[in-house]
Amino acid sequence: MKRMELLERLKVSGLKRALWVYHLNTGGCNGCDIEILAALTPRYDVERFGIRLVGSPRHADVLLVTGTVTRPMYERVKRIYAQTPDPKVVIAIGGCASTSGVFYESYNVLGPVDNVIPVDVYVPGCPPRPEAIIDGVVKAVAKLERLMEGKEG
Amino acid sequence: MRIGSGEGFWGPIVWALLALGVLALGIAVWLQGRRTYKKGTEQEDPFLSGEKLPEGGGGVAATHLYWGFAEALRPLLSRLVALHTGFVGDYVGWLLVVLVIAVLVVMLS
Repeated sequence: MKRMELLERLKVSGLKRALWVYHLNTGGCNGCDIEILAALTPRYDVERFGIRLVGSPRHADVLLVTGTVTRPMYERVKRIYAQTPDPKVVIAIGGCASTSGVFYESYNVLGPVDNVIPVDVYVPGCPPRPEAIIDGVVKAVAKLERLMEGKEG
Repeated sequence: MRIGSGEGFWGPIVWALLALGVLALGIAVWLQGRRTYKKGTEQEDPFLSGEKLPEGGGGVAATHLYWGFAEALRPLLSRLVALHTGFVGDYVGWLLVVLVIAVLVVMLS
């Protein structure tokens, strides 16, 4: 039993150093996407903390969603969320993902991301600065830790 | 048991132990993988950029590695494929034709 606890602790401590993030644009203008890229550039360099973008949600701990959800993206968002292994955290980046922003009640969108999948962290801004995105990811790490330790359902 | 050569040695026991060690390491890493995925759901399906999995699985086959070559050489390949009828008689016929040509080339040269 102690060995299992030790393994779990190792996994949680490993998570702090290797958070894998999948980025999904559900219909934004790319402004937030560029800020996410900025967070990866040497000026901010989030990879030094082990945070890295991955090419498949199946490898991800965190879903980074930008943009309001357009109708064609509805099925895709649901599927990608379903394909992300548990425990997972969803971060809505920017005004569109958080509230639909300038597309609020537009005929061709289904609303903000939390209309389709549960969102854990909201990062407002149009677009949010890389510092704000990094702050959101840090909050996601804290949430994931709680999930992995079984303190949150 | 060791067999020496100019480049090193071949020790089957050493290599077997090494293979076992690598296997044990692989299993140890595999055992640390996530087991929380939900069986029988889309979590088990391959990721196709969020698209629905086509009929038959939609996996990436080894032939996809040379898909570009196959497309570029399609006029030639389509003829070659057509020649492969699956009948032994056809293949023996082609063998005879090639043999006759080879014999003629040898005799005339």
